[in-house]
Amino acid sequence: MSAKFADWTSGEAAIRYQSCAACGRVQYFRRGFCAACGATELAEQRASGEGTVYATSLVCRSATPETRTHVPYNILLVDTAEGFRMMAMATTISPSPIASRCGSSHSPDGWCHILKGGMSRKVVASQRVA
Amino acid sequence: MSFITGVGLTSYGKHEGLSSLDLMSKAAALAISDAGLTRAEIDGILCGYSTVSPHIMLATVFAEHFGIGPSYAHAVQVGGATGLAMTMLAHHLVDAGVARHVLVVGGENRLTGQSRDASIAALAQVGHPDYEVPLGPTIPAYYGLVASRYMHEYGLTEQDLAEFAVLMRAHAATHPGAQFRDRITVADVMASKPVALPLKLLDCCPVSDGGAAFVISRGPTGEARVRVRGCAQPHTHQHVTAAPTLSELGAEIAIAKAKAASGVAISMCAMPRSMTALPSHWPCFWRDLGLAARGEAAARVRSGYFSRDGEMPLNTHGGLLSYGHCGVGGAMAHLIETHLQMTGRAGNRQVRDASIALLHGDGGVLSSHVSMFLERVR
Repeated sequence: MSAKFADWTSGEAAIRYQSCAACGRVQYFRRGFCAACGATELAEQRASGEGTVYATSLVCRSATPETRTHVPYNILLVDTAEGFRMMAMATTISPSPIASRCGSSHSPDGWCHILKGGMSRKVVASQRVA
Repeated sequence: MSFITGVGLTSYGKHEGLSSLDLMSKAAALAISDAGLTRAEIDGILCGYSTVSPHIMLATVFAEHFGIGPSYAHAVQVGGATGLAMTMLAHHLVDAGVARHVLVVGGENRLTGQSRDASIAALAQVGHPDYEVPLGPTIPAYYGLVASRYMHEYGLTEQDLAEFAVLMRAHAATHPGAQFRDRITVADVMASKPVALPLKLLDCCPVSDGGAAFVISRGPTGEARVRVRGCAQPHTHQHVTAAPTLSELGAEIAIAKAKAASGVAISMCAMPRSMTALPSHWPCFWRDLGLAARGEAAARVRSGYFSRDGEMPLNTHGGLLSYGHCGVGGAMAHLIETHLQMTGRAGNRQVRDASIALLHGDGGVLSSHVSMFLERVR
């Protein structure tokens, strides 16, 4: 297993991924090897936070007490500029460009993904909400 | 060669006071009786899982409870694909001579055995624990993602999706065991509470209590002559984030492999079945299964193509949406309804010709697929 590195899943303000030194594939779910070719030489990378929304669903009924306070919120699949897909959550989706530092809207992990809008628009930044 | 020699199905809905084992036992007794067998003749048991009563050895827990000492037993877990995956395994087991009569059983008191929130929360754990679950996706949200992408790519509307819920309710209206039997309209679906948009309450499966079972045997045990002609499964991913695509589905691979294993063309199917967890991906499946061109599935529903007297009757018991969804048994009910149709025992739901049927089951978020052709032989 490669050295542990911090990203949003551990509360740090970063989206990270791995790229394979042998075959060049990128992967989002962290592992000690490349799921495409099995090589163990992986480079830890930091993503730009930019990408395109691939799919979206507005959750109006949540499953857990932690998420209930955020209803309704969007669950998104985002195709990142670096070539991997990730799930994101947005408590607000502004129809206007970059509007939106998400301000006090907190996602459960302390993250808020600032979006320009819905399907096929860009995720322009990811901000950690204090 | 394998035959489905007996089937047993409880009503779906509320079964106050019955445990998962109780519901499994009821269905199992019905199936064994339907096959004309005794418990002692059952030498293999395959069972699904129960989210209400999880156990690391559910098959033998059930075997002891039911009073059988099989020579082969274990549980199978591939989500909504479990019922057909067990059928496929039973088919190979009896074909290989490992067992003569395999009892396949699933049942769960998912509605009355736990709170609705507990049920939703338990199921949401199919998400990735680090990269998905902390963000708050629900099961309907996973399918909402799929639906949003499919609508985006193929121009389907929410009204189009609603057609499937309306059709399933129309079918369930004639089945006494169905959980929901009051007819609904597209307007009703559109006006129902938002759950995970674009999916609304009536687009989503209910949570149900119920049990389902069947017996797979090496040869016929009575009048019923329904055999498994061929089956196949691909598993393309686990988590929705890791899905290669949400619009080109594993169903397509499954059906191609099942066709190859069966030597059957879709055009031969008098009564295909689609076994799905939510209707949002039906149109996707139908295209992938070759039943409708992209974007045409809703029009075909409206024209009656999938109705009881249509060219391709679909889920004549009401499917997961209206017959009900008790977990593993939810999908198994589709096979049981198919068997009743193929053996001419579907009563007022009987379709004209049910000599060949296509079943498809999927588990996870469109990640595990099983396709199967059943054939009636004389």
